[in-house]
Amino acid sequence: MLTRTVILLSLPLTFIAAIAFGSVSLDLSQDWGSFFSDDVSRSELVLQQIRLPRAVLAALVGAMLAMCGAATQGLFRNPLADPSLIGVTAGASAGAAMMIFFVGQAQWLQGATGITLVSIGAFVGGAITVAVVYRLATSINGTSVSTMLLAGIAITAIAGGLTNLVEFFANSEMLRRISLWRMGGLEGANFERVMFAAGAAVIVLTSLPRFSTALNALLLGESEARHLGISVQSTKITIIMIVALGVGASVALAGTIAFVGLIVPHIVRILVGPDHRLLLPLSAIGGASLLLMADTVARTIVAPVELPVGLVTAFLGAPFFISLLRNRHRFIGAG
Amino acid sequence: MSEINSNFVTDDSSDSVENKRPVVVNATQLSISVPKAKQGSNQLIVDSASFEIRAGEILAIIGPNGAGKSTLLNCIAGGTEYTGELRFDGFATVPKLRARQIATLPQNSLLNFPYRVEEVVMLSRIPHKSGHTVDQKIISEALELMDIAYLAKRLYTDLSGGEKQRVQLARILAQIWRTEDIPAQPESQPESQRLLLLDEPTAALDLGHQADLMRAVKAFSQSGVAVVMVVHDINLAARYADRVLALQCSQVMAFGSVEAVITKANMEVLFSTKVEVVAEPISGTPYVMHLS
Repeated sequence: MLTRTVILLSLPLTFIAAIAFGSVSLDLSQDWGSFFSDDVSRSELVLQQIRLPRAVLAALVGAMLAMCGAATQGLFRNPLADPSLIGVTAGASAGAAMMIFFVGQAQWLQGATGITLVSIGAFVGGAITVAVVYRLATSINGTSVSTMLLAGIAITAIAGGLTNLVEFFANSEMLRRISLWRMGGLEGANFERVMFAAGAAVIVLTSLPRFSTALNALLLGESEARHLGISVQSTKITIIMIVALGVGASVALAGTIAFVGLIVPHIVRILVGPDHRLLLPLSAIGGASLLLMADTVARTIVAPVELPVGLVTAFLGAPFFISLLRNRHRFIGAG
Repeated sequence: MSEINSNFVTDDSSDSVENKRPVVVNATQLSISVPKAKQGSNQLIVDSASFEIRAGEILAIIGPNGAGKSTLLNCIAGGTEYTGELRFDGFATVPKLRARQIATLPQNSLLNFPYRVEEVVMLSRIPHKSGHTVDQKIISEALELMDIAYLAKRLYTDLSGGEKQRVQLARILAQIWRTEDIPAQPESQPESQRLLLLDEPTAALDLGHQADLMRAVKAFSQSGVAVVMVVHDINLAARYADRVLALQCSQVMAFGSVEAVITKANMEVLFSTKVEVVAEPISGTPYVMHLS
């Protein structure tokens, strides 16, 4: 009970911290007062136009990434199956880059349509990747960790190659757009992006928990899940599609943010166990908190310069991943 | 003529009670083939098997390694394509409802997430809508039955092989624990049945827990559950089963009562080794001894 409360409380706390801290220091007590008045102050602008949308975007992207990570791990029956490690993020990036390239001539690649198109590209790229990795790594004996990670490396390489190829053939205008998008991060947060993220998040965050019971049964094995009356094939396909949507949308909005989908579900699993009915929602909350925290660090640590948030999560995540690998006999059986 | 007649009479007298039990699964000329890894052709795993499974009976499937025992069990569980006929009487067709009637123990478990033992067993109640209180009660009874109540709060991943096996068995039994959970069949249809499919249930169990398990399985069958189990231990099959299906090289070599199938001649052909069959001192069932 206590651990759940701590996880639940982490979100409002990190959210307030994300609003409160930044390269411009603000007096919050004053600003909340002026928030609803007509007096347009500088700090109010900073809050409304920059920090608030950015914090909301970070929370939504973090929640989607973490819940998608938890679902992927359940689907693969493997606690190391993070969308960024198994190539889904790279596949989504390649899909997005190709979309920018192929529709790049059109001037309307700005605003909501642009984000939607890039997201569709990312979604398709991500979906193909999860499906391929799943096919490669999963046999009747379950999912092999090594095959899964190797498939992830291969797919990341192919996707990286495709992205480079696209950049090679792109003209300077397109190249500028692709590299701007690739640097991505959360600093481009604005009302449009927040609305788009909210749309994707509503779909991902409400539909994945419907599969909690199915994922619980899937941890036993696919045939065991079928013996419990779960329609395994359609469950798998649907989860893959939702994960591709979640990861695709976050890649399109915020670029590559690694490890959130690995660390958060893992910590939550240690705290509350592997039951997806708790794991999925608490991972979403934990992911939102982690990304808010990482973004606050990214914005303030070398202010006024901002680090990409993906850099911070990578520095946090990589050592964590290594420790997981070193202790993997404790939580993964064979493979 | 006289031979046919006498056969008929023997069958009738020895099986008269069993024959009143309803047939729940009827396999006719059942064949299962899987694609070969390299050649692209199909390999026949089970070849034209015909047999029936009756309510309240334990059917043991025996045979040498690679004879197709597990594949046949998996097919009955609905996991493989087949040709021929496999008729189920008294089972729902909707997967979620059918799962309240058919429980399957696979040969090895893939579970490697740190569920607590009671959580693993609770997964068995996914197809049911009996409510948390009832489920909780069933879980604790199932844990008690498999002698693992003291492990309830332990992590599944920390258990030994035999303990894991008992947890999985408790899960399987809890899935078809009560008759009142099985879906009612429409008026015209045969009565609703329960079916328990076990692949090597006694593997990894010590002698005492083997006996516990077989007593539990016997109790289930006496309450009307049809049981099919793949076993390597012939003497275990002889002692607890009502019927035996012997598979050799994908084909049914013998199917019938324990006494009819477990004979010196059959066993020597089946396992290509010298054996002696004696009467077991307590139950009087056939007991196969290996002669070197």
